[in-house]
Amino acid sequence: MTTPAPHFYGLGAEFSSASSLMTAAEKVRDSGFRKWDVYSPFPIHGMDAAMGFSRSRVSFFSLIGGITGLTTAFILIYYTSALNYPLIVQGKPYFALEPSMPVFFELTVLLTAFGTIIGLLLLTLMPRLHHPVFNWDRFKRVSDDGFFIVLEAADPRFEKGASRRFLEELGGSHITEIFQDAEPQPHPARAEAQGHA
Amino acid sequence: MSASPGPLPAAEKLRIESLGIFPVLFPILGAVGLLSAFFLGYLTNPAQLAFSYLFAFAVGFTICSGALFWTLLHHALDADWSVLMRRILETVACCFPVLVLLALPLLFLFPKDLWYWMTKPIGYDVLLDWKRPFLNTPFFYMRCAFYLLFFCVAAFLYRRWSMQQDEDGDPRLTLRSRHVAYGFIPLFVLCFTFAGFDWLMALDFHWYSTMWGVYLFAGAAQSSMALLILITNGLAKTGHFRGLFNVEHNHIMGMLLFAFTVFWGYIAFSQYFLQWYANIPEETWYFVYRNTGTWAYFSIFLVVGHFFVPFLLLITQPAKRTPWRICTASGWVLLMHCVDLYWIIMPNLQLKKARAAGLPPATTGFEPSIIDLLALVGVVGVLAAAFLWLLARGSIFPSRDPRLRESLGVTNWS
Repeated sequence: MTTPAPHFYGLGAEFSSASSLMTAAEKVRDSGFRKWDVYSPFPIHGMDAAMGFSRSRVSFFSLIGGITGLTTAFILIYYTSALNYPLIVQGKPYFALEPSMPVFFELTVLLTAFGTIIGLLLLTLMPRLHHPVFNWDRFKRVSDDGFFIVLEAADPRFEKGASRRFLEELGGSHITEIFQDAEPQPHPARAEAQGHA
Repeated sequence: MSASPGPLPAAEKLRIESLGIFPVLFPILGAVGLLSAFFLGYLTNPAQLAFSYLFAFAVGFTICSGALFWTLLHHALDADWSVLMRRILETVACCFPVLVLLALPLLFLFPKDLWYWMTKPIGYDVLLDWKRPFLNTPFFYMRCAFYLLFFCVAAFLYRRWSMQQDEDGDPRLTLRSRHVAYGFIPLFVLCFTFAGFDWLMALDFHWYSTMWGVYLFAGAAQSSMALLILITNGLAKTGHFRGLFNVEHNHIMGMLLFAFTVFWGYIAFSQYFLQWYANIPEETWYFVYRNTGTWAYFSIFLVVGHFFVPFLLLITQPAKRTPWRICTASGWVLLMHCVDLYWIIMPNLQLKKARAAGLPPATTGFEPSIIDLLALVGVVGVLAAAFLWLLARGSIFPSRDPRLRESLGVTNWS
């Protein structure tokens, strides 16, 4: 059984501090790279601007969630209390805006929150269990004291030699080629079982 | 990133000449407005004058106490972003001594026109008799004296400490301001709430709302923030705060204005909602009358104008970061704050008229008077003149506050 050659993911470089990571990110942004990312142990204020992020699109999902919530609340109240089972309580109208407002508000807020979370997960491609950068040993320090930039091979501007030199110019150290995972190997027990079959 | 290094900006004086016609206009408007309101009112309609004057006074009172609230809050929370604008707030709050002078006619000339519980004998109304331990004339005046004294002392102390720090740069003044704020905030809440009960809620002694204090407070904090936005942007436009005041400050003030717009809407709705649900005649009457005849249009305008319009005007980030947009929204909020107080106070005048004429209340409605406008222009003019006079007496920002640098470098990480 032969393992297929692992797929090349990109080039990673390590930086010494948050500020050198920030300066490097600004230069990568200015060079026109699109598919790349920075990794740090903590959020760095101003990194979104240094990476050239535009406004997040999450608010669109929030709006959709909010509108859904308001509509749901209206239908829920109007259908149950004015159409399906009209009942006079305390001489109040079957349907009135006053008692509906809290429900409108709460459901709008609830589904806005859902919309926001779902939008966030969709836009960040989360949740995912694994990522090619985990195949790089030094990367383990990202949750401790490591600052990294990874340029992805999928970017049209990526070219192995030039990109390596670029990362060196930026002051990156330990520049490493990162590979996608190989095809999953069968579990040894299962492989043994298959061998017996 | 971190605050920019380099020397702190030097103290900056208000340049009166850059303000154009306003420094002359305000005292003139104040004097002309007040004199003509009193003249016209006494000749034609003293009751109208009493209510118009209460309306104008309430606008001044809520805005000045709102400014005092923001000052206290700034210190209590040890805030940094607001240092640059704090002197403006302190100065608005410090108009309180003038407000005390303006309160004198209210408390000594008009009380029998305004608070008609004062004119009724014991046994006139069973609910009023129940409230006599609170609603009696001597106690009323003692309370009023206490509120006004507290507001004056608090506003005076905070401005004084801040001005003193401009001189000696003593950081202990910042600590003292903070520690005193912890004690003053509860006192502020009590004074403001009970002043609202005494001056506005007691216009109709049958009606009560436990949310009254916080309702008025929401309007006060919102409108004083709107005023702060207008003043700081106005000063920046006339060449003050050069290189100090920036879009981030507008953004934060805009967020607070937005937050208090929502807060006002929340409180106003809750007050209405609870009384609608409970359906107790003494309570619902307040809203029933304000939803009758022409007042109904007024009420709808209040809900739309005080909540929905500023909500939509302020919801996006560019709206808060573009000076003309945030100033438009602030001006609108101030206008709607006046409308709110008008809606609170003036129906009582129409009810009074109906009572005097023996007519059913539904025959009365929204009836604007020129005296409303004159009194408002008069009170606002006098307060604005006092504000400019006070502001010109020192630096327009606390130039040696230990947190000034943080205020200058403030950024909203979006």
